[in-house]
Amino acid sequence: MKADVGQMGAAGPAAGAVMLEVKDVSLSFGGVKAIRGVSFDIKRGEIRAIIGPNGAGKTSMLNVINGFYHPQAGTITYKGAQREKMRPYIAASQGIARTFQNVALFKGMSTLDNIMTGRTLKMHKGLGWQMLRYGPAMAEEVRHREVVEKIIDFLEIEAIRKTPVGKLPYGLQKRVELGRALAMEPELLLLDEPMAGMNLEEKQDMSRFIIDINRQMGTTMALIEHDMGVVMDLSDRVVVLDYGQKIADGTPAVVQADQKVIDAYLGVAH
Amino acid sequence: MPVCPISQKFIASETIDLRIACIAALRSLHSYSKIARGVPHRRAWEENNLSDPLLSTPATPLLDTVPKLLIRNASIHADRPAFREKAFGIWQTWTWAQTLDEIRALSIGLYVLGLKRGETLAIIGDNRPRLYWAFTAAQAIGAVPVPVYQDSVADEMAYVLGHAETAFAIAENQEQVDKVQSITARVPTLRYISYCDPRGLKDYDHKQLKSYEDIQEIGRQELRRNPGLDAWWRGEIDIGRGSDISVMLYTSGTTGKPKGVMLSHENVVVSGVNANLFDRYTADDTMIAYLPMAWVGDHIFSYGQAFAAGICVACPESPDTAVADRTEIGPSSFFAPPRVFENMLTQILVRMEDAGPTKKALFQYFLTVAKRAGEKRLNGESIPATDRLLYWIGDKLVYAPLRNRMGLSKLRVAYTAGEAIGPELFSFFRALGVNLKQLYGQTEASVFITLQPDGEVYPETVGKPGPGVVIKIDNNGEVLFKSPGVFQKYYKNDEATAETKTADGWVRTGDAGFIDTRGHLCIIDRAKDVGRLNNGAIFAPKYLENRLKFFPEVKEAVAFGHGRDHVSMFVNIDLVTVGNWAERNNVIYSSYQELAAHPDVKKMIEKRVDELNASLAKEPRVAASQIHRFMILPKELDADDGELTRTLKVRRAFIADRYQPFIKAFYDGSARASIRTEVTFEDGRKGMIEGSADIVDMQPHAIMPREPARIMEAAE
Repeated sequence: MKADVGQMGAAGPAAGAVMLEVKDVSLSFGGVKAIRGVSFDIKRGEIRAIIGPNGAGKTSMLNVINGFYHPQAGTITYKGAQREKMRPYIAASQGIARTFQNVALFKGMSTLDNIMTGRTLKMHKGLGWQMLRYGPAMAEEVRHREVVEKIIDFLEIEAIRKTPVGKLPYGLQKRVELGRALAMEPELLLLDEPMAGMNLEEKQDMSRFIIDINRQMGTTMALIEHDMGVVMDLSDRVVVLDYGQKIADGTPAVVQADQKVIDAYLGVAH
Repeated sequence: MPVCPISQKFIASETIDLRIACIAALRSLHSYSKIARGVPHRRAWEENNLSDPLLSTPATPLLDTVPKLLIRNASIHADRPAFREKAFGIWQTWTWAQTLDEIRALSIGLYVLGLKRGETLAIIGDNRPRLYWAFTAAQAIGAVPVPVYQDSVADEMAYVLGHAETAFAIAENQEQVDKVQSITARVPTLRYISYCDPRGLKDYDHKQLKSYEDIQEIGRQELRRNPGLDAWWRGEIDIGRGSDISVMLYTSGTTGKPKGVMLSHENVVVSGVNANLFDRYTADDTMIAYLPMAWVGDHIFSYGQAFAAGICVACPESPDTAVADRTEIGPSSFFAPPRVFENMLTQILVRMEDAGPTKKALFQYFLTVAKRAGEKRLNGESIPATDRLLYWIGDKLVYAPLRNRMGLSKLRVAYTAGEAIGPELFSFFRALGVNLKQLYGQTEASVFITLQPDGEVYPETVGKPGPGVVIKIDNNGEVLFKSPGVFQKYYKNDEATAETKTADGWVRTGDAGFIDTRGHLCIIDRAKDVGRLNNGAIFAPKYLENRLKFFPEVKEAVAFGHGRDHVSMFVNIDLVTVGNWAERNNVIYSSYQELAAHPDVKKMIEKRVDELNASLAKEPRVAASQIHRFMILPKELDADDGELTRTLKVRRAFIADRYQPFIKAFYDGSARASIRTEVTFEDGRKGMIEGSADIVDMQPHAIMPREPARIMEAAE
């Protein structure tokens, strides 16, 4: 998965093959139409932003990609294979990881243990061995711990390694959650408002981590974000949703100049 | 009242030729382990001075540069740990042999890339073994390392790198590389930037940029290709002389532009050797390196001393984890400014507040035992058998666990310096069995000027001159010194060098002080802030204020006396301590003003001022500064009103101006004075308050010097 990172220019790692394609997807909850016939694609190695006003269907879209919701119409093609009915754990085992809009960590557990849970799918030793915590199970844990320690180093959270996450400030909890998602070594990382509620410095840190993950690990990312400055700086391409419909798709510069997008955000005088 | 002229004859031992002292110290390196164990340090030093036939030819060459020490360590301490660094949660260790290997590869790599003898190499980052190696790697081939404060902004960095005409820069990570790259235009001499951590630097233009490992790889390849290279490299080290410049340390530049202090190898090595002798450090010791590498203290402790004795230097995982890492490492020596110790104490007290009743009771009880017996024990004085037993139990139950918590379990000695430390704080740590001592030094001295010897630790002094150091006080009260650590000169600033170094080799510290009857140096103030009373006696306001502020009831104090007949003082009470007292004694008050005017409060402060006067009376140099009159200000000094700086330092001139009527009353004999002054409320509105306060007259103590000590010893 790191193979195609090398040829990226300084402008960003855009323009790989299509990794995930969403085609004419519609989703409704009873009478509420959350998503109406949306199509877009995510290319390998890019940072794809999904933006839109409140209630535009952004998080629903992530949930569809993640396999949490089943669209009533439309198809999703991931790595060349069209998806059947989907469950989140299958998505996870196929290399899709995500973080949540509201931090969803195990509050009583330490940072280290929380990130370790991200390795669950990759642990194979049976319960018996695990309980003994000896021999092969220990060797396996050491191997996984190494990966986790690299993530801790990457995200610069050494100082809170053993702190229960419930005690951490919000910005750091977000970082731990990102760490847990990274522990899965995902190919596609879905970030739901990674910078909500952060101050400027925390946002800058998080932006740097997102860029570094993308550049260094070659991870493809889809992110929902409200801070326009962040979106325009980070993303390679942006898709804009409004009332469940796609109203624009393209590079940040193109999207920013689109009249429909401006109207959606600022409202239109009737 | 006789006032001692300050010009002191403390120069007694000028007979010590510093050069000879240096050589003796360097010689002692060979028989170091013998000296370091067993023989009391002072004797060890003297023995070396006397018994070593200085002029005879040595059996082994002088170990007068750091790279030479590296070669020695790699042979006699080959398999012992030299550096540790926590990475990925695990302590990684490099032995001295491995360290030599790493340094040699880097050194040759740098040479191949064109680093020449005499050129400078900037080192920027947190404490990392790789960065420490960069020092030696550069020194081995005759280049001069210049560490830069890692938190300096690009502008400051541009000045230092430009001034030092840096040819190479080794930066820790992307953050530092970004800073250096943003200033390359202002540093035309810069040819290469190297980085240790490749993270985020992948897409950078690598024309000028080289990773640390790539440089080492260049060196290793050359070594493989050319087997004679190792001998050549060792030859380069042999060319080095103790008098060569080993490092350039830029002063932080709080006043004006930073100055590049040039230290020779001899400065660094001899200072390291002396400090090791003084506190008996050996290769069995471990230090934790967490203070900025650009600061002279770290350079001498974690580099000079470490290489001189083969001490293992442990680098924390990140600056934030330094405390946890210290607990894991358990260093045998520890240096920290007073506020670090203050934080430790606060943390202990806060945690004890939350502890269960049994623990609390134990802590309280054994703390009183410690206060009674702990410090005496540390000073080697005799204590009653019951106290000895109680202290032993207390150590098992309370003190040892506390020390462990702070990471000071294996500690032999802790030092603090930089600012005045409160005697309570100082005694607290000493009572717990932490051998906390003070030292006084500066960059220009390769740190050490004075240190407190074991058994002679007094909170109000900074100790006796270190090995080979001679001090004297000039007519203005300024402290001057000569030592083996005296810097060579300021880089490209002969004017400043001439101002600081006198023609006959003394260095001006810029600090005013005096030598007390025990031969200890007391630093009282910056020399330029020191004034004189009308009778010619020295008047050091900050010294008096600090001494009074050590009492918990006093929050702020401002002394007046320059050009006056006697000293008088404004006092601000501490609302927390005094308020607490008021609560316990049913004293009802509604404001600071009311509490400050309470007669019992006045008595309380009067008692404290009297205590201070009593202790001043014992020091001939400051006895004339006893406080004759004081007043508790009816208003708290406040930064919002411009009375304090934002860092809470007293703005003396401003206060003198605003409270003019009070000062007038001090010196015209009135018993009461009043004032109308403007205040700024917390919401920013301004208002006038009127206040008046009584002036309290003090009865000065008769001057009673301690029994005349053998003063000459001070300058041994």
